[in-house]
Amino acid sequence: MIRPRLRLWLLLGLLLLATLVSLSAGTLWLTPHTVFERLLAHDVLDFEVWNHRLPRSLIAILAGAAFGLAGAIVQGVIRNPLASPEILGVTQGAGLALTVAIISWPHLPIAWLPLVACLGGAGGALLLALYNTGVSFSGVRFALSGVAIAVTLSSVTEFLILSHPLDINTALLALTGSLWSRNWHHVALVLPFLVLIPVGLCLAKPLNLIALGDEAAHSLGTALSRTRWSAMACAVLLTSLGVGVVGPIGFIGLVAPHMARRLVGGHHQYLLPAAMLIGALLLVLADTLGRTLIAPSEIPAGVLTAVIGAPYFLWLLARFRG
Amino acid sequence: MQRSFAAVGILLSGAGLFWLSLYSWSPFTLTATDAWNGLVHQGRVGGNMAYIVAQLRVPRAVCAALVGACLGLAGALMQGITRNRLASPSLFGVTAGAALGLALFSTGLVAPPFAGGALLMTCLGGALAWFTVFSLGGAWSPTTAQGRLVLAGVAVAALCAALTRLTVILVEAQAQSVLNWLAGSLANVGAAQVQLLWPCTLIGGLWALWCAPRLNLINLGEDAARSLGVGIASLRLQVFVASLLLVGASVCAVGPIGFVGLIAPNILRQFLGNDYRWLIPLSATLGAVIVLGADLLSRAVAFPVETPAGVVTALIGAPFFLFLARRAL
Amino acid sequence: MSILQARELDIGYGATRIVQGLSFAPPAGKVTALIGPNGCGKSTLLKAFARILKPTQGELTLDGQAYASLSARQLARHIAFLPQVLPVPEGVSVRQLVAYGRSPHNSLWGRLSGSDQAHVSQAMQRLELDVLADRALADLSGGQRQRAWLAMVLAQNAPVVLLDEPTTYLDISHQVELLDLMGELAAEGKTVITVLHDINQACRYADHLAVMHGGKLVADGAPAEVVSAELMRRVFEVQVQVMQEPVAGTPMCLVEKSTRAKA
Repeated sequence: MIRPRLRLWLLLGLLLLATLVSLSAGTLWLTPHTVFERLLAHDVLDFEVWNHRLPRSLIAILAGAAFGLAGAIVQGVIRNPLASPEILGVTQGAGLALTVAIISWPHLPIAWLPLVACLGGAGGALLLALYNTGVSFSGVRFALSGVAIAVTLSSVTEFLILSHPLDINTALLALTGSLWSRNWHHVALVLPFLVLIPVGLCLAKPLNLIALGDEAAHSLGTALSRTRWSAMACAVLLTSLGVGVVGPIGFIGLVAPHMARRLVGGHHQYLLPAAMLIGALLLVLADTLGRTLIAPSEIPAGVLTAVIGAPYFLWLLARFRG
Repeated sequence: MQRSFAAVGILLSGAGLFWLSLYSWSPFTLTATDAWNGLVHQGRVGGNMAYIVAQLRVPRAVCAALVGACLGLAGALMQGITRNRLASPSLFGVTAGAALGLALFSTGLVAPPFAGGALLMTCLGGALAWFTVFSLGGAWSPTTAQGRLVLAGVAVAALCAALTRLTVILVEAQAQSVLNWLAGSLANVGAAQVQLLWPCTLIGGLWALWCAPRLNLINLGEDAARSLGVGIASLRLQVFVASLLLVGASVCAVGPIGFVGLIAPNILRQFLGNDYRWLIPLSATLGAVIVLGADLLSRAVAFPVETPAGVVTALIGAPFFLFLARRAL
Repeated sequence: MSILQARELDIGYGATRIVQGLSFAPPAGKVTALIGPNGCGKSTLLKAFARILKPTQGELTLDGQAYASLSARQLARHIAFLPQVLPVPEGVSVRQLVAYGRSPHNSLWGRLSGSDQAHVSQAMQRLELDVLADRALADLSGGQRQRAWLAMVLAQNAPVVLLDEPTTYLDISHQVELLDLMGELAAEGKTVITVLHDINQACRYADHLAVMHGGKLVADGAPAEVVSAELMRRVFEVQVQVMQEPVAGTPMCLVEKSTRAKA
């Protein structure tokens, strides 16, 4: 276990570098020097950096970190490396709620959207909890039932979208998740996340103990039931908040915690921050690639996170044999 | 006794649904007489309405039945060879892989220029997905938890769906088709699809039936089956090829439709037990019934707008899957 | 004098009762071994003492205070529990694991104070883990891993230590070391209660035996007083000769045959 703290700093540096690249890249390529100049100048009329790329990058960082943290918490509570918020139906529940809102009330002010998403995400999680009560807890059944709920909810979403013609980019946003046209208004929506970070990080110590097994955790003084509930609630809020702004982007909550664990180990005081940094990094990367690969058209970030994330997950599955 | 009742019941409902779908919920006013004329006289008698029935409705109903049969068969085969009740083409990512193959073909990215190129691509896509899921999910290891294969399948399906979207976006840069691509619909099928489907269904079905007794033995465990003379590797290969043909044909014809292969065999198991000599043919029939019903619903639900049949099967299938998962694990 | 006391305990779930009407007060500062045939309820009783299982009836007290009135943290400062199956959390080093033992004492974030650090170092030294301190748990052998968990339990510094079948997966040299350690802990004033399978080990290393059968406590006392051929036949269904063990002078059972009635 070589110096996890050093690795955390390295991750932060990597994230800053990625952000710089993200600010430079796009239909119009800017040199880093130009980017710095424009950042400092803070010209309200500057389209490229201030109005388009900077808010977008900020949102990518915050939402990605939210997904990564939520994923790490979920995996810590359920103790199943195959678990993640999207596999638990939270992402799809939030996505469905958003779709219903967009279709039924097209003029809903965007400030309401995160709230709607949170309600939907909580609904998905509640369905999952209800489904798994009364039977002894099994990690695989939990994950599977999450898959079933997720598929149900996303089918309903798909049905709604296909039968209500929408602006195509909005539809894609609701189905796959994308950062298209996210601007400063949306940044304000993600700010509550800054309150949730300290809450999530307080879960580090109980999560360490939960990893030792229920009996040991209990014997070391963890209030198990209360901890699990508050941890899941935190994860649901974080995920729903992210979905509320960027749509149902998948795989970050699944992959970031694993990568983090390989880098800094299983001690949650390092693992949680690392998962956040890696989640942010992944989403910034996905968004940058999405904007540049076929410029001026865009590939939704959700497509790219799946393309990067799914093979990694499969590799994980192969390693996790037996 | 119960079996015969079940068989007859399914066949009757299949015939009934087939008949209904010939003339109900159409933007034109069709009557039963038109349906009869269209079906029996192929539209040469009875005027324009009968002609519409013959040209549009009959092929559509036939396709629906054939697609349902293909998917039901594939599901039964996969469940038999893996001894996993949750095995099915859509849950294991095979359908999504086939859809990716089709997308690559239709957008011209990977398009073998000979006849049957489309079918080849769907089968290849499905095959790749199958390999990935089965080897990574530990399908052949006796100690694997049942759910792992499904989790691997879900991941592969998500990956293939994303790659399909990516393909369409890259080539057409016209995102509308992206949405419809992954939905699976019978809206535009005609004689060409029927001609593609019926040989594949026939070959696949007969092959599956031939494998049925050996699948019964596999159910006892692979060691027991081996000691009773079943060539396991050969059986796996045959099931693999037959399922791919069935799934590939159905995806090629109508796009990805899910959950049929999951629902049909599991419902039948309630009545028939685990005897694959009955499960296989009846899964085909029940599958046909399900897709016919879904197609009818797809026109009825938001009439006159059509919902893709794939969405309807998902809406029915996913809760069913939930119910199954609770019991199966 | 006992720190722990159980009165008229009933433990079970649904309609099944595993432990019935059990009253027991393990002696403080001694090693007590809970023994009995499979399914007699010994692990269940131990887990009830650790408050992992809740009794449906009866009362458990710690130093006169009812269990129900103590918070999880408070209880954890007095009672430490070593589970039978030791999970292997990924990416955790030996030092980190032992440090988790201080959780009932340290802050919300898990920061270790000076005295916390001292306990951790002492525990690691005692169990000869200094060399392995930064190795990942997953890379250790079964015996080494158990030593790491034991160090964690020691670092917890609780006056009562409960061990659930700790010798089951160990080879004999590790078993002996573990049993010697239990004796040392008792000599330092801790109350040690352990579930053991091997009667002779229990007789040799425990100061006090509690024999359970069918959810009830059937015998309770020093090994020399409790162990007899009659008890062995009644509870364990074996015919034995009881002799005095030549090295330690404790009772030893030589098995002649099984007396279990064949159906």
